[in-house]
Amino acid sequence: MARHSRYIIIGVVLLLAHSGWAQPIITPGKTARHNLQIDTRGNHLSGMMLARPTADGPRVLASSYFGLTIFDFTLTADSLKVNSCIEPMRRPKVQQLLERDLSVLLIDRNLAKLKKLTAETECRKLGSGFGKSVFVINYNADGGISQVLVKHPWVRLQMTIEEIK
Amino acid sequence: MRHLLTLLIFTMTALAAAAQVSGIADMQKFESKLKETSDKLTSIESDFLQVKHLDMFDEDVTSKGKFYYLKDNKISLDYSQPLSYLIVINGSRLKIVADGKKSVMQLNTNKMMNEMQDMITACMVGDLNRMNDSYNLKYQEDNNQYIISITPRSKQVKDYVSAIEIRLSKADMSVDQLRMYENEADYTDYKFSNKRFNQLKDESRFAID
Repeated sequence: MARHSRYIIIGVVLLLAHSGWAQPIITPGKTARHNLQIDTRGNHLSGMMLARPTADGPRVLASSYFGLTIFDFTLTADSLKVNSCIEPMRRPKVQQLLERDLSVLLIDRNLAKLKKLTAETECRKLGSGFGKSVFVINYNADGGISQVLVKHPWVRLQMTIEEIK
Repeated sequence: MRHLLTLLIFTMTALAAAAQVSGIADMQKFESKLKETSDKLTSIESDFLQVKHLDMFDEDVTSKGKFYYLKDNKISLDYSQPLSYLIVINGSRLKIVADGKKSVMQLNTNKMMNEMQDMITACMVGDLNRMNDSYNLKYQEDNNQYIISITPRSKQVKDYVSAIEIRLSKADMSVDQLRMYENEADYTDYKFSNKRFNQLKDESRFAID
């Protein structure tokens, strides 16, 4: 039964990928909470990511477990609105990178090109060179997402996102 | 009917009096109690409940765990919910253990981080003697607690924490509650319970390496 459901999910994903419907990887919801880990050049940061829909677009907030907000963005139709953000993340290049990543995660996964799709893993790519992003979505046996990895190989930055049950 | 009305007025007056906040009447007594407690304090162990309130979200984010303090500058926040997570401050070094990965930061290389660490340590322990001229302090009290409102003067610190409110128990001068405001609408509360003082001897939980 589990095997059948996997093929149904793959079929639905493939159908939706070609249908033009916006398909977020993470659906912003009232109480959706995710564990967020950021690894960059030997540094490991972790916290909680919350996302919810608003009239302007999805609003996404990352907070350290201690409680301090790391960033709070709204993804509007054409830009990234910064509600608040810690100083190291105020650089335009960092925000551009985050805007692209968050758009794929929270608005439409089809903004990134599908490279591989199996029952266990979905792999997508966006951009090239320093702006290259790789999205790896790992699925559970029941078809639910167990983990999302967003990798920037050239800038040695990786984000790991897992839902908090 | 008249008795019921009298009882109702009496109850409401008593409740209002209990919740009434005013400036500290005897500042000298407050300062000497605070100094005496701070001088005697060597360690704290307690449970803590952390509630992050975000105006944009309908539901608060709640975490809980154990809080440890050992004089002079050792703090450990051992989170058990929603995930296992450990923060240790030992002097000028900060260790975070999350998802089995350890990261260590040197706080004294960054003036702002150093100031934040001093402020957070002082507030969690209730040691207001450490607060220097970089902060504006306002003292108030109600029947059960002293309420101290702290506003950083530095714009850089204000970017992270716009204000702090500490509630000290009048019974033992320990911190009952700490509220850190990031802005007017968003804040994080830390509520401390089951407090034990001056019993912690083991320094190993504050080890960084």
